Amino acid sequence: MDPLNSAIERLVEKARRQYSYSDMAGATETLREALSIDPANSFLHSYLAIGLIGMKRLVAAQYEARAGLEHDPESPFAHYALGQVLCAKMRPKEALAHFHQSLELDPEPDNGACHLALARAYSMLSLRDKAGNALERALELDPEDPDTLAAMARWHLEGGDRRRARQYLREALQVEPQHQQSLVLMGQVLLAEGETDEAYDHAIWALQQDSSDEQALYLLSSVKARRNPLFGLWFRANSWLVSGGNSRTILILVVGFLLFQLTSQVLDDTGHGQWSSLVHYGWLAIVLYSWVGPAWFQRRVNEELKTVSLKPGY
Amino acid sequence: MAAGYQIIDEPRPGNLSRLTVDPLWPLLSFMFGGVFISWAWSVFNSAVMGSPTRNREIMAVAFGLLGYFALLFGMDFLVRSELVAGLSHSYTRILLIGFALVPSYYIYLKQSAAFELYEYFGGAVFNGIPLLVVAYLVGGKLQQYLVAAVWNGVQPWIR
Repeated sequence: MDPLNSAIERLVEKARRQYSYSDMAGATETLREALSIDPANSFLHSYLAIGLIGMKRLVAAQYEARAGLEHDPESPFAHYALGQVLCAKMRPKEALAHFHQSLELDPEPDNGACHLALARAYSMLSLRDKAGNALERALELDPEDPDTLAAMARWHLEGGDRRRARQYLREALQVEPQHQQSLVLMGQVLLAEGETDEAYDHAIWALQQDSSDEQALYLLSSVKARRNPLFGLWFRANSWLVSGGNSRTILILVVGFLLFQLTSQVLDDTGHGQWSSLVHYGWLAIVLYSWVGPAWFQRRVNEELKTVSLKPGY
Repeated sequence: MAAGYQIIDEPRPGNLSRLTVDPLWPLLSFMFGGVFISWAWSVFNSAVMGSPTRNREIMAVAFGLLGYFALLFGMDFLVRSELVAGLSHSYTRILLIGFALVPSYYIYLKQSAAFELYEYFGGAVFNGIPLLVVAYLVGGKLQQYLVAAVWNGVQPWIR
């Protein structure tokens, strides 16, 4: 065997293990090393793109996925990886084209992962029936795959059917009791049903396996927000602010600041100085709250995380 | 920085990289020294850190400068022509601050992503407090000088 190829194979195997332990940063470094040996390897670029999505480095992920496709335009995995990047960038229409292309090019056309990805893209386009069909197909191919069962549960959850969602999640957790995604989703179902303590337990179980799991951290924060409505208000407001992307956040904050300043100036100019003071006190209260709120909230969540890491067997 | 294959969003620090600061400090200098010192510091920080989005950041500052002075002259015209009753230069000041915050936040968000990677790869980080004090001391004068220079330079053309 070519020593260079065998070195790359060893590195790819190492990256695969790192991905399975959610060590995205480690896998990125391993694949960087492999790409230093063979910069024209389509698979390495596409595989790196998958890790970069996990690290939310979407500009780089798109660049790598496109590089993978340029080096081998007929590679089903390169199309799959680019589709995943486009999904992460909220461009499901373009992603669909690449997932279909991947299925057409794949010598094993019934690729469960690709059907799952198709379902995700359809869901993003609100094409629930098509998403359901893709999930059914994935489930037919592997009825015991916990990822597919969890995706099915999510599909039912999005449709408001918590009972069916719970059923699929139970199945997934029977197959793999530590299945991260299913634990978090089960926590979300329980929280929606008002079972806060059980939701908390699921968040903790998920965090005990991977303390950097964003969805599990979000679930834990949601539980804390539910338990303390005053400081939970900051969490909800912040979640809403960041959900629309950076541009919208900047715009909302600047418009809020301008509204405050202009209102205060207009009140001063029209001889309503006493109301202007009230507006100033209101603004001061918002500033204080948005200063103390996140710090306090973060502290409470960190305290929880410390107890998670101290549990035996962590 | 990481050796070997370079991923596109990773910073490429130059010789002065030890002067890199957390992008929060140039944003804070907006409050203490005004908009121009903040933008100048942001562009400098972007260059020394080797931010992969530095061209966009420079463009944001360029558009910011154009918009700032367009707003200044536009508001001056409106105030002097008395087209809007009760309009004074207090509103000009508020609108200028509001407008200038947009590029500042944009640059901050862009640089923060690059700064996280810069720190991750063990890049040296300079304490921003001494530079913030300098920004406080010279920022106001720089702003006065620049606005006066542009104002005096443009006035003969718009009279």
